[in-house]
Amino acid sequence: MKNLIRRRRRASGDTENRDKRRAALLKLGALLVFCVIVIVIGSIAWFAMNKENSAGGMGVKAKGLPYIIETRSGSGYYSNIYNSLNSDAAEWKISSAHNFDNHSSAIEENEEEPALEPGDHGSLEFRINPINSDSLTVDCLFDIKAYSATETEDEHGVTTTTLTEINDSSLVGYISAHVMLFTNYDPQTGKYSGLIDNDNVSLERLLEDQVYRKGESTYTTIYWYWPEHLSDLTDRDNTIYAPSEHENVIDYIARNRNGFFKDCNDSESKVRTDLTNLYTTYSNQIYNHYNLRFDNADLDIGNNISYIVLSMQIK
Amino acid sequence: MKRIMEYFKKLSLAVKIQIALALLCTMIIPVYAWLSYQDKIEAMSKIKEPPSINLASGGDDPALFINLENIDVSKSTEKYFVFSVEPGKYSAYDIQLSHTTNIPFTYELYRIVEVENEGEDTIEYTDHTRNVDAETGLEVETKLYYRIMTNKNDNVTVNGKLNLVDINPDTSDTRILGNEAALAANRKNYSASDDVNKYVKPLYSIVRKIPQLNQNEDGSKDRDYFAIKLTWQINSNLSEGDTGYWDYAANNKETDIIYISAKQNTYTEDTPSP
Repeated sequence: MKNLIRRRRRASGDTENRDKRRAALLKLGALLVFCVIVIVIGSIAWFAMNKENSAGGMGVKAKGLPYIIETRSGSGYYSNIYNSLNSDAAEWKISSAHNFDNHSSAIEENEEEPALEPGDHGSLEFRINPINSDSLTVDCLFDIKAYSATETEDEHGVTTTTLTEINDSSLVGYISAHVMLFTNYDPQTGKYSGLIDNDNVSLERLLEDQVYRKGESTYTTIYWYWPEHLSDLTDRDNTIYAPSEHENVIDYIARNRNGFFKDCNDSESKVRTDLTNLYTTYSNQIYNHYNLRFDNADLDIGNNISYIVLSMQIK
Repeated sequence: MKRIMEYFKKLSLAVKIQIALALLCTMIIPVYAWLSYQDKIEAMSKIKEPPSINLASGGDDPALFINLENIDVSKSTEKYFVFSVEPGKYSAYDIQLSHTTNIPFTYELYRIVEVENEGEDTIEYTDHTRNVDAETGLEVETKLYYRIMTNKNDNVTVNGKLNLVDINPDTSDTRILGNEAALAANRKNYSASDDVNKYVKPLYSIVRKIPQLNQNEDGSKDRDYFAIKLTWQINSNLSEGDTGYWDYAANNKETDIIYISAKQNTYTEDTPSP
């Protein structure tokens, strides 16, 4: 009888042990499944980010991007907010000399944070380092996205900024047009040249056929400028650009008149003629007609857009 | 392996979570690094809100120094007062004067520009903030001189004089004083039978769409300068009770209050101002 009880006890102990082992196995199995999922997702991310994939035989051969984009080392002042966007791009690193008014040294007097306004200008740098070949020719596409910000405060008084992308094409057009990009700046004359644009696509900025060599240490510099007044673009004696750039700029403004001017109902040819005339002979009436619309576009930008993101994409 | 498992089992739940998180992070960082290895870079910046339109005094002074006192009508027949507008990004704005009409002054508005030296036609202004005494570090007063921009002409300006339009002129009165009847009834400042304030009828006058001076024609970076010109006539032969006595200025007459206001007006022809 005693033996029977002992056996039963042992049996019930065995069941308990088995249950425990089964539970442990289940946990281990779940952990393994989780690990596999993580690895699979990681691999997908890896493959998805590669520009070219090719399958051969049993294996999948992945070819990485044929270059690395290199920028400066500093993070932008707004990198925390930028990271909250979860963008599929990398942060454009900056330095105190080359930034987008997003370096802590860009904080002006009476300002809490660095911020862009009409009249601001600066430069940004990047370079492409080819991996597989000695040299590489690429097209660089520049684009601007605009965001509005909502700030919420939690019970501990911590403020969180949430950004919403602005899809209003007129607003995005104003900021894209007003922040102009150039490839050259002459410190002697203080004038810019080499306007980055695209003759065929409205408000697209494309820098074509840029050649980069492996291990080359020079950066490509682009100069951005947000003109304060229309006269910075139309008055011969006060333009921000070199005289050689005049036709290019006027043509660019005329083609993208709905970005430069708010409520512009004038035809492309009229804008081109008017601004060309204005360049040589100042007319109060013509200037005010366009300047009003130019400034109104700036006001719309300032009143509606909180943050902007300038991107450079290799095509 | 068994020992490791036992050791792991012994750990508290909090520590287990921490280890799991640490492992997860080790996985995420390389994946994140891969993600950064790509074809697009982005720079983010903030956009500053546009500054509002401001009124200020002459020179570099803030509005605090706008001063219209000390008029001795017996010594001259005109006096200028300097003020300025900081239009910010607003390319056009309205200036409105509203003033009481105790003293029969005529109000005119001129665009002025700072000049270096005093001359016969210059308007003097005492600046309080432009210069700082090197020794004491305190701001010192500086005499500044302005001249009417007589060559300035645009939609609202003729030879530097702005076209100040009275909104409620009393056409029945030669002195062009304010006509209360022209204002809405609920905006009357005084009742009709109040003898003391008999002539206190505010007169509203406005210049619409004054263009911001581009190219900093007035020599300032962010201000447009203006002068209010007050003119008057005196007639010492008349005494109170005589006909026309109130048409002339005298030092024993009352105080007037002047309001200057500026408002953005960047409406285009397509969307006219309300």
